[in-house]
Amino acid sequence: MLIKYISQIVLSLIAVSCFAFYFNVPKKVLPSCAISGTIGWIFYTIFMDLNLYYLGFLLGAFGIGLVGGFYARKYKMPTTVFVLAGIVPIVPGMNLYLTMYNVIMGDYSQAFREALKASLIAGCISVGISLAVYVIETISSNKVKKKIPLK
Amino acid sequence: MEDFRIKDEIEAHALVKLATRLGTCMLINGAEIYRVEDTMLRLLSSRKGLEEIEVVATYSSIMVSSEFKGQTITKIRKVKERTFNLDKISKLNNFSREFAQSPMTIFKANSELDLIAACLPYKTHKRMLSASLGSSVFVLAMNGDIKDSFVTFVALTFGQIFLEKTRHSNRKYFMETLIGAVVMSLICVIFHSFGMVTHLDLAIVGAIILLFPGVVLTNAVRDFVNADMVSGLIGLIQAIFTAAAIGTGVGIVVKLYTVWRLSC
Repeated sequence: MLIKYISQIVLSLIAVSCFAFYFNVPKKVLPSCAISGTIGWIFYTIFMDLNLYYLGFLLGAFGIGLVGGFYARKYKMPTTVFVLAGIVPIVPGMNLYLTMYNVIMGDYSQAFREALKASLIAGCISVGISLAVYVIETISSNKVKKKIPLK
Repeated sequence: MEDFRIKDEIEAHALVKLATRLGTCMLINGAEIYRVEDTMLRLLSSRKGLEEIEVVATYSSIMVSSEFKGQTITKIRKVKERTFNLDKISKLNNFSREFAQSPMTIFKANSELDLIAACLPYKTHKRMLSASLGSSVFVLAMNGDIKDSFVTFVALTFGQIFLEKTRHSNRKYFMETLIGAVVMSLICVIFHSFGMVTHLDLAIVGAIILLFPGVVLTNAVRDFVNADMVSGLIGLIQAIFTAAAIGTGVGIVVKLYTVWRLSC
């Protein structure tokens, strides 16, 4: 079990940093991108093992958004830089493709199932990221409010 | 802030033009709608004098309208393609902040935008190689074995080279995705017919992972959540059609392959 998780961490570190390179992420922040993506993938793997399918996507995206938002504040760059490469491994592109593939193969019930899955997963991921962005914004705006009375 | 006042009509026009150019550049390189609108608004409202500023951005067009001394200045730009270049987005974002906080002239701002638009952080062949490597490692992470991962690497590399060599301006996203899917799944199928692939689906999925519209779909749902309905609809429709292109390409190849296998 432990070996499986360690290998997953190593593999996703490599994969996410490669995807980040593909999306032209600045060289300075490539490791941070890899870390945020890996945290998302690990959340996803753990919840898949617990048979909590959609929660895995939601919390994976939440983790990516949280870490990405933290790095965005630290390096003063847009949050997308840290989030985009990280969500590539968990986005429902495969389900969308299977939808169309099954339509062409004539298996309509399977196609409908995949389409529903794809939209639910996309919803989970976007809610997770929006939630993380909201949390980060709330925390940082609170800090600003505290500073103003001191001056 | 008194120093930042707009002097005459020419300068007002130049400022609106600069903001439109910046917004278009950000959209082409894959920024989200709210970020584009925020950046353009920041740029326009950093100089005193423009009134009734309104910015509307969707994934296919940008509209800016403002008023300077009773005269309306409007600009519309069409955005045809989108790629992901996060380096440029972060540079443009920093540039807009810098412009808003300093008395930079518009001429200098334009030349700085030229510099940002021209720079490319990584060479194309390195990006291709990293995409292939990332996808083949991703196949391993999805419990594929080393043979699948190798075939994914080969298929994606050849597919990307093929797409790059045959690229011309008349080919839109649908054909691009369809041809890419056909080429990549064809290579996977050829390897499979020699018995070099254990999981054919996994190898094909790994090869076409970067064509997948998953990021577009997720961004579209985020736009819906942020009450940006028009952009969300455009993203949703684009995701559906891209998926249709991929499904068609892979479907044709795999269907023909299964028929051929059964007849043998």
